Amino acid sequence: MMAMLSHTHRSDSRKLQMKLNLIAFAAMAGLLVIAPFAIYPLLVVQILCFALFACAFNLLMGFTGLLSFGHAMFYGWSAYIAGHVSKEYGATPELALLFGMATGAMLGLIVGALAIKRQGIYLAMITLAFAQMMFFLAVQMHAITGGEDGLQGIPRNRLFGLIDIDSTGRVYWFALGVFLLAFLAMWRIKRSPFGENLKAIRENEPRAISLGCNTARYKLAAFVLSAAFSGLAGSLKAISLQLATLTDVGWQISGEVILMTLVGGVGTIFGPVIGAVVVVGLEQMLLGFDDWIPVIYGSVFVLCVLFFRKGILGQIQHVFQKD
Amino acid sequence: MCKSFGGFQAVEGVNLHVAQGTIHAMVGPNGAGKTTCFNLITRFLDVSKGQIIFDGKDVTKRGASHVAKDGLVRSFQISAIFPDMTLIENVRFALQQRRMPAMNFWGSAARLSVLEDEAMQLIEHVGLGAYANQRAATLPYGRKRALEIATTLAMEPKVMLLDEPTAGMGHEDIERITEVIRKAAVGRSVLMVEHNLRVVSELSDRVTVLARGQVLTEGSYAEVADDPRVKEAYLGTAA
Repeated sequence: MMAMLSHTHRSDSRKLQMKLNLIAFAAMAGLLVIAPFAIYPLLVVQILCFALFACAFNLLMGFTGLLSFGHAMFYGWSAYIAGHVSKEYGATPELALLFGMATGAMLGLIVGALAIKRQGIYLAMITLAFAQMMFFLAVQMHAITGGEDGLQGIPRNRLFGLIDIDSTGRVYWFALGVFLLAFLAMWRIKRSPFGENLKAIRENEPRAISLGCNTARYKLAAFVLSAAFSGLAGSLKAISLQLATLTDVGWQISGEVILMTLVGGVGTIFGPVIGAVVVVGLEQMLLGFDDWIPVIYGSVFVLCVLFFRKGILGQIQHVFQKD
Repeated sequence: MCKSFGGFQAVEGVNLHVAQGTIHAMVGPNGAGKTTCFNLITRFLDVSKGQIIFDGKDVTKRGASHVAKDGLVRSFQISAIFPDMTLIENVRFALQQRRMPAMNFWGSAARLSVLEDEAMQLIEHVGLGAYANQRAATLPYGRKRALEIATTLAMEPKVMLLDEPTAGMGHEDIERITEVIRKAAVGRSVLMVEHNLRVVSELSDRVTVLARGQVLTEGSYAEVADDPRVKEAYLGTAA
């Protein structure tokens, strides 16, 4: 009897949570559909790319508990490769995105295989070191990256070789479609049996090992998936905004994605999207402050860590859970 | 088994044989090498020298997660639970490792619900049925240890290794956990590190005493309790 009652209780609370998440998803999709009529569409595209990047980063930090301080290498290098294949070989946008994702996944596999042997600050330092190496490689490999000039005027070729996306309006719908599909894919991963294992690893890795979970394999898989989706975000940015530069591969971007994830709510599904909106919005609002922007960013970061450790969404969830 | 850390010899030639279907206790003063032995047997540490044979097979080079799947499952000195998961989810995680294919990115987590009735039975088996949907972090210490045993049992271990299962517990909790261990030990072997000698005397078929990384003596509880070397190891030599 008790087992039956608790089973019902479990499935009820699970259904309610699912319903709330679906409502939140519908609200987010609805807002994104009307956003380009109120805000400059390419600014929203920029937010979408960063939101996708932050969601990908959250897959590693939020779901698995691994802090990487070098995710810009996946984002930036995928932007270069997607831009390069579009510009030099006339690759269609979907192919360019696939190349970008593959670049992210491959880099993720190499860096992840070496980095996940360590944890905490050591993992962050190893990923930062790799990212710096990849930054200097980007400066040197002029033929692919355009060096200090970067890649400019990346063509938006026809989607599937058929559909013209070369206008601000059309590229917005393209970016929105990619973002929503990738978001749903990451949500599914979180809710999969694989995602449940990541949660256990994040909470108590030695115990997970002692219960027969090969945590090294799971952590590497999470690293590669996170790098691949970061690569998708970078290549979407390159195709949509027609630009890939050294800024995309610099350490500041790695810092910014951590900030977005923390501000929005690490480990939550929608938090990184909120974080991206806040950080890019802040960036726009502070345009007049020039050199002071990093100082203001730093202050936001410190305030978040001190007072909002769960981030905006995490804090809201915490309040509701208490009630 | 031998294990050294730099110049320090933590375990030196320990030869331990746990017979099938018995409860075997490992006792000794602090720093005797008991937990190191646990870590060696469960492959959380590599042996410097020696061999670990489990169920007739050499597992000296096998990974920790693999020996756990083989049936050599351990608990930890500090209660090892997944604090932000419910009790059901804690036990379900262990069942998932045995029953579900690894690396399932795309299936729904709802598929795991088929394991929940079995998880519930195990939770009830250790007397925690009323707390099944609570977050594990909210349980009092003694019940966390019981949850740990339920999670360990979900692996259907052939040998269960319990590292100080009653450490830090009050009298009532000790009695409850002793009963849980007795029930859990039916049909399997248990190797247990334990400081509480009353628990050792109540549960153990055989006792190995370690001191300074070596086996001091081995036998039934009555035999080792009378051994003057054991008294000396615990209390020191009278001046």
